[in-house]
Amino acid sequence: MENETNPWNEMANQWVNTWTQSGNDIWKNWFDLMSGSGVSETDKNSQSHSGGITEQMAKNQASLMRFLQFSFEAWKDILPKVEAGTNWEQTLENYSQQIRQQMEQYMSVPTKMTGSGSTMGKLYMEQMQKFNQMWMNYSGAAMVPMVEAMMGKSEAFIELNNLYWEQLYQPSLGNLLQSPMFGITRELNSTLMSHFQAWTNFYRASNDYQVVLADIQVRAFEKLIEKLAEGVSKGEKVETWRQFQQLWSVAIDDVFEETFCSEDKLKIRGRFINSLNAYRLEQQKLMEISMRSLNLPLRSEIDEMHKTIYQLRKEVKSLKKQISTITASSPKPESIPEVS
Amino acid sequence: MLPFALQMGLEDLTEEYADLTEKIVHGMDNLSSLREEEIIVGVTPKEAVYQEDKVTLYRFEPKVKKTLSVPLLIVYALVNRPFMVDLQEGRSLVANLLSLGLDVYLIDWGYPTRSDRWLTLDDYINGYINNCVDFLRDHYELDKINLLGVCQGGTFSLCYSSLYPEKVQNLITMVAPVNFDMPNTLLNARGGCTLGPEAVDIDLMVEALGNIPGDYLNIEFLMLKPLQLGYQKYLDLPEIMGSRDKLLNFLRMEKWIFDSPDQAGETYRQFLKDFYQENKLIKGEVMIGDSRVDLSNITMPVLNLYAEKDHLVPPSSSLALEEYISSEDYTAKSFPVGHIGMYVSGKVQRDLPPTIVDWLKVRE
Repeated sequence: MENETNPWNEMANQWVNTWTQSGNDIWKNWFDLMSGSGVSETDKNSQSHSGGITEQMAKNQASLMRFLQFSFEAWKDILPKVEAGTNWEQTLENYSQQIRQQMEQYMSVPTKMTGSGSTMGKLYMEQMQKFNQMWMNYSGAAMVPMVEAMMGKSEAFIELNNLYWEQLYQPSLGNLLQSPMFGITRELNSTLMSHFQAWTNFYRASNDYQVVLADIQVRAFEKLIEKLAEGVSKGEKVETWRQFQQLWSVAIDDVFEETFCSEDKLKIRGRFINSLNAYRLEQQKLMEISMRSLNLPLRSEIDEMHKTIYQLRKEVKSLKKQISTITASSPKPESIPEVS
Repeated sequence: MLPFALQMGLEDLTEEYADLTEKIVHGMDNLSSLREEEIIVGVTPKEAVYQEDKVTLYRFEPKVKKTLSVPLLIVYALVNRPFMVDLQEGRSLVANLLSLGLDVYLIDWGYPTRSDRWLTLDDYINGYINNCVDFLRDHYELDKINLLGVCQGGTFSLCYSSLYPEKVQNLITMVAPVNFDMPNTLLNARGGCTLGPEAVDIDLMVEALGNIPGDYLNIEFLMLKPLQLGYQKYLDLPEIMGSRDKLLNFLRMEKWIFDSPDQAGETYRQFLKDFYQENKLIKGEVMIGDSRVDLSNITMPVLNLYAEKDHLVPPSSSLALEEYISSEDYTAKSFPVGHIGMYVSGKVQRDLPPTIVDWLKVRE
C-alpha cells in the first residue's frame, strides 16, 4: 500500500501545484487584461501604475494560493483519520500550530524592534537607574504574555506589543520626542516629531491588526477542516476542486465576519484606521511645509477657497429663490397707456 | 488509491482541470474581442431635463401610453452610480416600469470633486432633491409627486418626505436602512453602530481625506466577504467566459461595482455620524439644515420593499419603519434575494415592477 501511495502522493502534489499555479496565472492575466482595457496606448504612466497594481494583486493571490494549498494538504492527511474514526483533532492541532508558527515569524518584526530597543535600553541603563527599573518592569510584565504567545494565543502578541510601546517606548524615547522643542527650528522639529509619533502609533496599531488577520487564518483553517469532517460524517463528499475552494472561501469569510462583529477586534481595526488617518494628516502637514517653501499653493488653501465658493454659491441660490418667490407673488405692473 | 482520492478522484480532478483549461482558452478569446466601450450601463433612452451643479435629473423616454398621471422620481444612493436601476436590456427596473405606463425620472448625483467637499445633507435633501421635486411639480402642474428611494436614497427620501409631506403623494422605499443599530451586520458594526468613533473616527477621516474616495468604499464593501467577493468570483469566471453575453453581464456588474464616485466629505461625515453611529433617524434627532426630521410627519401611503437575504441592509433595519411613521396606509413586501438581487434577479424583475405600479394605481 505504501509503495502504491507514494507515487500517487507525488502525482497529487504535482497536480495541486499546477492547479494553484494556474489559478494564480488566471488571476494575474485577468487583472492584466482589466488594467489594460480602456487605457490608451500612449498613456504609459497609467499602464505602469496598473502594472504595479497587477503585481500587488498577483502577490496577494499567490499568498492566498499558498494558504489554499496548505489547507488541501492538511485535509489529505486528516480525511483518513476522520473516516477511520481516530483522533483527527490532534492532527488538525498540529497543522494549526504550523500556521501559528508562521504567524510568530511574521510577528518577529516587533520582536526584533523589541530586541533593538533592548540594546538601546542597555545603554540607557548604564547611565540612568530609572531605565533599569523600566526594563525590569517590562520583563516582569512580559513574562506571562510571552509564554501565552509561545502557546499560540494571538491576544498575547497584542499584549506584548502594547507592553513594548507603553512600558518601554513611551517612557523613554516617546516622552523625549514629545518634549517641547527650542531654537529657530522649534516649530519644524515639533511637526517632524509629531509626524514620527503618528507613525509609531500607526505602526503599533498595524501590528495589532495583522495579529488579528493572522488569527483569522488559523481559525478559518480549523473551521474548514471541521466543515469537511462534518461533511464526511454526513456522507457528503467534496468531489471537485472547485467545491473545495468554495468551502474554503466561505469558511474564511464566515470567520472574518464573526471576528469583526466582536467589539474587541472591532476596536483593533478602528485603531488601525484611525491611526492611519492621523498619520496621513501629519504627512499633509509636512508636505505643506515643503510646498510653502517652494511657493506652491497648499491643499489647505485650496480647501479654504472651495469652502468660500461653496458658501457664496449657496447664498446666491438662496437669494435667487427669494427673488423668484417675491416676483411670483407681487402683482404685475399695469401697462402704461401710450401717449398720443 | 490515495486516502484523499476517496473524496476527490485524481482522474476526476484531471478531467476537471482539462475542462477548466478549455473554458479559459475559449473565454480568453471572448474577453480579448471585447472593448471597454461595449460595457454600457444604463441602456434606456433618456434626456436631461434639469441640471444643477453636478446633479442631473433625467426623464426616461416613455415606451407606452401613460397609465398614471403622477410621475415617479427615483432617488438613488450617493454610493455607486444610479444606473443599477437600468443595468441592461432585460435587467432594468426603469424599463419595466416604463413598459407598465409609468413616467419615470431619476436623479444622477454625478461625480463629486474636491470642490464639493463642503456639500452637506442639507444641500442634497433641501437643495437638490427639493429642487428636482419642484421642477416636476411645476412641469406637471401637480402639488405632489411619487417618490421611490433606493438604499441610502431611501433614507434620503424618508427625510425628504418628513420635511415636505405636502409634496409627496406616495412614498416607496427599496432596501432602505431605517434602524442603523444592527450590531450583527458587519457594515453597521464597522461603521460604528456600537463603538462610535472607536470603530471609525469619521471626523478624523474627513479631515485627513477631504472627500471619501470611491476606492475606499469599494474596499469596505469587498471586505464584507473578502474571499467570496475578491477571489472566488474570479475563479468562477471561466464557467461563464465561454458565453459572450454572460461575460458582458459580468463586466457590466464589475463596472457598476467599481465605478464608485467619491463621497462629499461633509455629507459623509453627517451620514455616518448621525445615522450609523448615533442612529438619530428613528430617535427623531436628525437635523437637515435647520429642520428636524420627524418620521411621524410621514402620513402619505408608504410601500416598503426589502430583500430577505440582504447583507448590507438587513430586513429588520428596513422593517423598523412601520413603528415610526404615522401613515395609515403602510405596506411591506419582501423578495427572496440579496441587496443586489433586487436589481438583477430575473424573478424580482418580473414581480417587482408590477408590484410598484399596481400599488401606485390604487392610490392614484
